[in-house]
Amino acid sequence: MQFEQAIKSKIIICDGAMGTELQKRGLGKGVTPDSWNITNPEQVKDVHKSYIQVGADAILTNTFGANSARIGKESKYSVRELNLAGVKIARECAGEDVLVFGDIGPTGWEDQLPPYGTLSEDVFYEVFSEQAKALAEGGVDAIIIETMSNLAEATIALKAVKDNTSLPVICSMTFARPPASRPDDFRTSWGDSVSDIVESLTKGGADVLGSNCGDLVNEMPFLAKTIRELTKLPLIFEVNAGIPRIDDDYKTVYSLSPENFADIIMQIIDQGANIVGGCCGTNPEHISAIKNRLDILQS
Amino acid sequence: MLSRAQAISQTEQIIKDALANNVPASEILNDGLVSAMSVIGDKFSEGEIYIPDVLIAARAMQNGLDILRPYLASDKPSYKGTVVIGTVKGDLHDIGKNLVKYMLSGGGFNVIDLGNDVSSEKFADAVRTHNADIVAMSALLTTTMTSMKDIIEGLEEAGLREKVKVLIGGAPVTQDFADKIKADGYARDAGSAIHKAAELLGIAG
Repeated sequence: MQFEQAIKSKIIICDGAMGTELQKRGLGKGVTPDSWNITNPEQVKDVHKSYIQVGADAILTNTFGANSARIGKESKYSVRELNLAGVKIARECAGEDVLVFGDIGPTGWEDQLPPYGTLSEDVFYEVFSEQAKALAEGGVDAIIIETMSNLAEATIALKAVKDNTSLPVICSMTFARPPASRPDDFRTSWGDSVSDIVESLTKGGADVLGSNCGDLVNEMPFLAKTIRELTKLPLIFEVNAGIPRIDDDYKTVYSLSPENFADIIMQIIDQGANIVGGCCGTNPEHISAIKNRLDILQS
Repeated sequence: MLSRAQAISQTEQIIKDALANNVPASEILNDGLVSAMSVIGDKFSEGEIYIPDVLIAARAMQNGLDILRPYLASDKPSYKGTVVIGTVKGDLHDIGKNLVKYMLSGGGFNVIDLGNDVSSEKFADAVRTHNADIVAMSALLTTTMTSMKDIIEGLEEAGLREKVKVLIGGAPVTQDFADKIKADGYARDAGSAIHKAAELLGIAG
């Protein structure tokens, strides 16, 4: 199905977490998830399939960190190889009916653009252009730029994707918890406000705006409302499975059950979201819970 | 908001003016730079300012220290304590750790940065070499925060646990987790790390 057609006709359910699901399948500490596109493709496929089985309409390629800033100079595989392999795996699982979103994450660089830092726009632009080209070459249906905390960086990533591909682009920012004195002043950890984000990314040609990850879970519906008031563009929200804690066996557990997670997602849909899914700590059960609610709603 | 260049040049000018007016260098350091960094930390904790503001303040502070250093040479810098800091094994994220580093060094601590992906042995070696008072550990991932437990156990095995205070932090870390792995302190952000580090050493922060 084409992305443009899908977003007009229904709420698109995205997949849940990839990294933690790969860890369940043996990904060790210090090994980058992206490298498994080449070394353990069957395990990556297994995660994609587990989400498609429970009703995901769209899956994200396992390429969040597959950019030159993150893989480093010692990487055995090139950016192009990691991304092409990631798209191939996703495409094989998705077939014709499920959408594949090519995943682009942040550089993770501390040094930034002026006035805060000393890096030039060109340095960022090169990183994102290289990855965008490879994802497009592999054959994704859309690009998702996600978990961005810095609007300047997200804006350059958007430009790089727009310049180098003709694909629809989803831009998803990560917000910090607002201070108690200003509960509606949602900002990224770099201080970017919702209105600046909407303005800059809309001007840059984003097809979908929204948010994922970060400190916000219960506040996400309110954030969705805040963004919806500022734009008519389709919106995306991918929510963490609550706040993580460590249990007595030193295993990480997330606080939100699939049903409680679905409660929050349904409130976000009520505020006008078009694409919903899971971020850190979510698994196929969380996505299944969204699917069941939407099936009931639409029947 | 000042740009990085403006913040650096204005701080520089204020320091030079103070020196020209015979304000003692140690006073400029403590009442000017160190206490200013503490204000930055508090504002960051309260959500009044954001990461780039802290990074700019840290650069301005660093540049200011470079100017002051020749004047301080006679009176040795008196640190509040020595901290070895690192992002734990398996974790390659260092922005959060760096913010804490800037805060602590700006706040008057001698900070030894071990970088990221730091093993238990490396922490223990650094504690010995630098005669550290505090081990500060950061993790951004839920999957790597459990390395903190291994590192504390490593300090125990090396017979160093009694010698140092362990301070932990990072996005997924909580007080509950700190209690569970028997860390001495938890700081929820870079701003509160200054106060927590001072508290652990029983001094004013």
